[in-house]
Amino acid sequence: MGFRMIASGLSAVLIANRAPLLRFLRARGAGDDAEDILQELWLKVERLEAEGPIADPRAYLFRMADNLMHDRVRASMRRTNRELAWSETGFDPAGRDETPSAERALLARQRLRRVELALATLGERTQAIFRRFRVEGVSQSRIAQEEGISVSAVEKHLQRAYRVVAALVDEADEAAPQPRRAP
Amino acid sequence: MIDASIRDQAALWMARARDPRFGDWDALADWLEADPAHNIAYEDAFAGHDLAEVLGIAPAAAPVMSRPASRWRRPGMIGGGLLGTAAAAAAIVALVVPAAPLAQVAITTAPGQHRLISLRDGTQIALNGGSRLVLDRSNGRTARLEQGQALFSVVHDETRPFTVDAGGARMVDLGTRFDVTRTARGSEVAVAEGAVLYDPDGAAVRLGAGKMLRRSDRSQVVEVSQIDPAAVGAWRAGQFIYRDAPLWRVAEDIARATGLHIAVDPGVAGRAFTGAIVVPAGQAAFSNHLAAILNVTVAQQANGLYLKARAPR
Repeated sequence: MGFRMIASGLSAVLIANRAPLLRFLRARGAGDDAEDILQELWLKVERLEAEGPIADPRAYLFRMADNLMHDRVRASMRRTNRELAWSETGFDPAGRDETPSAERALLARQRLRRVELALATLGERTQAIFRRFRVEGVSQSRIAQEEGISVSAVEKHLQRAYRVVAALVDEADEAAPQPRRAP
Repeated sequence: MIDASIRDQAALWMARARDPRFGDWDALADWLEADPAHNIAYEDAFAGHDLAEVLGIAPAAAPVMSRPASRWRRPGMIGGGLLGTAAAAAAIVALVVPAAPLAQVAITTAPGQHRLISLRDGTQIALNGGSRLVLDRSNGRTARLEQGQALFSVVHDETRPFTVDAGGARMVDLGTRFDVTRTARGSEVAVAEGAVLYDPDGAAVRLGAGKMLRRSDRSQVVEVSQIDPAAVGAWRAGQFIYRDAPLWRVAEDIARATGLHIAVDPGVAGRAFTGAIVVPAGQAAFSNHLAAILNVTVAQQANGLYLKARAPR
């Protein structure tokens, strides 16, 4: 029970892990903005209401930092690339795209087909494990138990699937004439 | 160009870091620091992770129909409701249900329809419209909410806790009345009485009366907030009570209750709403009320309503 803590405790964990979090943010491409982004993270933590015990607060903060960097990349892509390539397909899990809903539904269908086609190059078991992980949010250790294989074997299946879906994004990138990212 | 071995490594790190139990962030930082190309490949893999979200919005019709044994292991495929109308989702469900294997029983409701389910132990489950609940005949103390919303009034039994699964979230009752919602973007639980234990095998968050927990499918981040216990389950009387709820969530509730198809303009989808909405039995003037309460323009579309920002005066 000792590891449970409330959100105000989360701020303390953030202070204690300031240096490794900054290092992580820089490694994730934050550059000179790392301090500002840590501040943003701090504000988010402050807004989380108390009494939400978190099993591993340190990992929780890193996950938030990881998501924050990813959101920034996506936001800058939306700005620079709004009309182009894969942003044109209305893809935005945050639901902020500006395509009308009927069209969006159609594009989502097409995207689904593309993802399914790409995954079809993998074995059935890899596909099933990836769906269980990605769609249903089941942890690797639970999948390993269910499938009767080791966690590192589950990891290998997921690695193959992520390689395939990442390549789909990459393709769309190359079709876009503009660079996506600041160096 | 980023070479293939970096892309392989990035895919492996993505698989690790998206696991809810992942904790080795320092090792990930080591790898990212080693070469700036690593972060670019990692971001591409992250975008692939986002892209794969589409797998959750529709059933893969052919394989699901032809392989009944695997059907029940993919609840997320039928849920979602991002696409088409809830009625279309219900039609798909209707095709699947009669062939239900073994002990699993799926109960579905059309939008606007409520159902009360009584279990042998006295536990009652009120199922909101546009919802799908799977029960297990061989184990009366489990339920899986695949889509929509359900209010659980559980008869507590220390020796046989009642477990509810919704998306990747799992809840165990500690003697209670609580509401579970599977939205298009995640899972929610709100406790009216007693307490619920969220994620018993992991975080083990205890939620008392008046607590609400949201888990995002995309980020897997869990947030706990306050809710008026009296507001929990108010949907049964056609009432919806919100504090700082995003508009897309309000629209989902109303769609579930009325069967209206409601799309929300991205410009207002994240706007916070605080207040109460009563869904009337007759719906003639309802869209006018909605426009006034939510401070939006409600446009009629062929397939339902579209909520967007009011034009500036």
